[in-house]
Amino acid sequence: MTKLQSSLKEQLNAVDEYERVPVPKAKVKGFKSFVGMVAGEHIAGTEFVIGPLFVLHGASAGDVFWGLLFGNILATLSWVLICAPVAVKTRLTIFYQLEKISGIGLVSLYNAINGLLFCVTAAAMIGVSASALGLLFDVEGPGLTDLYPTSLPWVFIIILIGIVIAVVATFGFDRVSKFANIFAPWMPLVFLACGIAMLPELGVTKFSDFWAVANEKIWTGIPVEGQTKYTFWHIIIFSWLCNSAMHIGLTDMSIYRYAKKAHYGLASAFGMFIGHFMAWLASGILCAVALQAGNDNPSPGQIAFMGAGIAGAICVVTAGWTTANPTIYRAGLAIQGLFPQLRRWKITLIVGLIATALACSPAIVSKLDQFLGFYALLASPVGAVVLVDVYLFPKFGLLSNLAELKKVTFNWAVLLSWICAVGGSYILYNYWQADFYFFMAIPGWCIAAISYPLFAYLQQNFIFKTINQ
Amino acid sequence: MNTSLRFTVKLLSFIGLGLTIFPSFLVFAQILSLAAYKHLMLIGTLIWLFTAPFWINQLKEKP
Repeated sequence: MTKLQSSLKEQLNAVDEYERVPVPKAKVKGFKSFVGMVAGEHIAGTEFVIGPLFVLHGASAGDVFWGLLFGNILATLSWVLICAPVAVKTRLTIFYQLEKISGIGLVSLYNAINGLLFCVTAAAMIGVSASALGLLFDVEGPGLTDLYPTSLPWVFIIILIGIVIAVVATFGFDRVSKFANIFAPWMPLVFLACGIAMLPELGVTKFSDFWAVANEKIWTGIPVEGQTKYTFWHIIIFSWLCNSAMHIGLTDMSIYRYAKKAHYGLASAFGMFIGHFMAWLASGILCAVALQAGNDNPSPGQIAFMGAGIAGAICVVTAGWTTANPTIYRAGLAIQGLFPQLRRWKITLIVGLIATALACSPAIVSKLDQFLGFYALLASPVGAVVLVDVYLFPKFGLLSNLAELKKVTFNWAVLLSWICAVGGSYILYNYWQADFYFFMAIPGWCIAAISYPLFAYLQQNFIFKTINQ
Repeated sequence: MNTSLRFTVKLLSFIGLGLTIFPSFLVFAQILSLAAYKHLMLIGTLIWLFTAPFWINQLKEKP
C-alpha cells in the first residue's frame, strides 16, 4: 500500500460521524453550516422539473404564489417544531433512535427501505446533472423509458459525476456541508437571473406588467391537454409535504443532530424559500417561454441552457451534486445500521457506486416521483412514533426506548401502528384519488401518533406485566 | 493567505456574483442582448467558482 493510500485510509477512518452515539457538544455546528447545506440541497436540478409542473397542470398565478407561500411556511415550521427539537434532544440519527424504540429487527427493515430509496433519489440527481453535462459536451442522453444507457460517453459522464458525489459524501457531514457552501450563494442567483432575463420574451418589460402576464401566459389556470388541473390546495400540499419524509418523518435528524439549538431548524426556510419558492417560480417562467417556443416537454438541462447558457448548465450539474451529496450521506448512515461492524465511509462509498450504477438506467430514475411518494408514506408514521416516544411517553407514564430497555428485537406496538398508518393512508389515497402518495403523509402521521401510544399502553400494561408475573 | 490577498480574492468572488445576477436586469431593461448576458454570466460563474473555495469555508464560527 502506498503512502498516499494509507494516509487517505487514515483520514477516512478518522472521520467520526457518531452513528451509534450522541453527537458530542464540542462537535455541534453553528447556524451558517445548516444554511449553506439546506440551501444547496433544496436547490436541485429537479426544481427545473417541478416549477414547470404547475404551469403544465394549469395552476393559476394566485394559487401558485399563495400556495407556495403557505406551503413553504408549513414545511419550515415542520422542521422547526418537529424535526430539529427531537434531533437536538437526542443528538442521534433517526436510524439509531428507532433501533432503541423498535428493536434491531424492525429497524433493519426500515433502514433497508431508506437506503434503497436514498440510492434511487441520488441516482436521479446524478441523471439530471448528467443531462446538463451531456448538453455541454454534445453527448445525447438516453430517453426516459430506456432501461440501459445508449452510449459509452454517457456512461463515462455518469461515472464521473457519481465518483465526485460518492467521494465527497464519504468524507462525512463536514465535507458535505463545505462543498455545499461553495455553491450555495451562486446557485440561487442563476435561477433568479434566468427568471428575470426571460421575462421580456413573454412581453414583460416593466415589473408592473408581471402579474397580468403571469395570469395570461405563465400560470394561466388552464392545464395543457392530457394533464389534470392543479388548485391552491394541490400547491400548498405539494410544497409542504414533498419533503415530508425529511421533516415530519424525521430523517433530517441525521443533519440537525449537529445543531447547537433546536431553532436552527429555521435554516430550512433558506432551502424552502430559495429552492421551493423562487426557483419554482423562475423555472415556471422558463417553462412558459419554452411552451411559447413550441417545446412542450423541456428537460431541466434544456430549460437551464435556454435561460442562462453554459452557466445554466453548470448550475444544473452542481444542483444535482449538492442534493445527491447529503442524500448519499444519509443512505450511508441508513445502511450502516444494517452492518454496524463496517466503517461508515466504506458503506457510503459502496452506496455511491450503487447510485451511480442505478443512474445509468433512466427507466428507474424516471419513477422517482412514485418512489419518493411511497417513501413519504412509509417514513412519516415512523417520525410520529419517534416524536411520541421521545416527548409524550414520559408524560403518559410509558417507557421510552422500550426495545433497548427490554432487549426486544421486534417491538410489535411500533409494527402495528406502522401497518395501521401505512394501510390507512393508502386506503385514503385511493378513496380521495389523490395525485401523489405523499399527499397522504399527514393522515398517516396522525394515525401513527394516535395508534402507537394505544398499542404501547396495551403492550406495557398488560402483556409485559403478565409475562413478568 | 494574508489579509490583503484574502480581501482581493473575496472582492473578485463578489464581482463574480455580481456578473451572475446584474446582467439579467439589463436584459429585462432591454439594454443588453441575451447572448451578451449569457457570456457575462459564464464569466461571473467561473470567477466565483475559482475564487470562493479559497475563503468561503475558512470563516470561523462563533462558539
